[in-house]
Amino acid sequence: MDLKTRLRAQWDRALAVTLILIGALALLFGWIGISTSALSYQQLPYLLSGGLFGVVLIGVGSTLLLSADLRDEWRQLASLEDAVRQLADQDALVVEEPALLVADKQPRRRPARSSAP
Amino acid sequence: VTQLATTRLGAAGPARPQLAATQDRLVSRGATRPRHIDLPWQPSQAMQWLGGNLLGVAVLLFAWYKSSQSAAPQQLVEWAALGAFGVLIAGLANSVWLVRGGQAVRRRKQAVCDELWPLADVSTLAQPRTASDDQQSVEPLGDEPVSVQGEELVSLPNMRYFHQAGCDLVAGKAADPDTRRVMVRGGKQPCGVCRP
Repeated sequence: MDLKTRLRAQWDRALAVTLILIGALALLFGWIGISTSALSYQQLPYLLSGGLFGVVLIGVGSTLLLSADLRDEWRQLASLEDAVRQLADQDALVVEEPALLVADKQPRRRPARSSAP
Repeated sequence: VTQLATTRLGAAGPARPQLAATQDRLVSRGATRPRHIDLPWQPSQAMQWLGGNLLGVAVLLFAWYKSSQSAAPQQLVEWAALGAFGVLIAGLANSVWLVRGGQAVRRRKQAVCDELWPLADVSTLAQPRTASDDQQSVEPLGDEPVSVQGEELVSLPNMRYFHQAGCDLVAGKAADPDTRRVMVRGGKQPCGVCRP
């Protein structure tokens, strides 16, 4: 898979990493700006533009990273749901109330363990 | 759940490559590949997230702009507070976004589990029995709170099945340990997945 395809498929992760990097740069420049200013009224704009803006960017980036994980999990569940339905359709597994299966009060045999993993 | 599905649903595998092959064939004939946007969030929730973040950033930029134009300490503090408020708005929007996504994923997991239950039971019972299985024990109603594999037996009050403590279907749930006899007499059945 080439870089372009990978970026298109994982655009949210790419955006997240970009935002986190920009946020880190904003923090760095804010720190440099504050450290080179002696007066407090000069320092505050750096705190707002560098510090808080960097924090917001890092926060949004982290949110996007976590969202990407959630999205992956969601799609995995979707394919799993499809697989379950296909399996149910293929085998025509019409299940009635499972309680009926042991309603005879006989001692139950231990089910055989399948050799499949 | 994913682990369970990979174990139990191997038979459903071939359908997907067939579907992909059909799609590839159609695309090669000039059809457009369908784009499915399947996400845990509704479009309105995405708009709220985007709006919250944009609002937060706008408030922050406004505070920065105003603070860079004033030198009075009292005003500076006020603009700094406004900037912090912008951060708060953005943070709130992100938190709500993640919580909603997590909730949607949990709900879907539960739905998949509900669909897996009957399959798990029926597939267990549908397996052909062998002579060696028949020679195996008739399951006793034990008084020990452990499975035949020696693992703790657990269940939840509103569950129909009891499980081994390590079963995927009770992972992360506050299940209570009990003896097989008590659980069977309480109307519970052994899980078809972990087969306690």
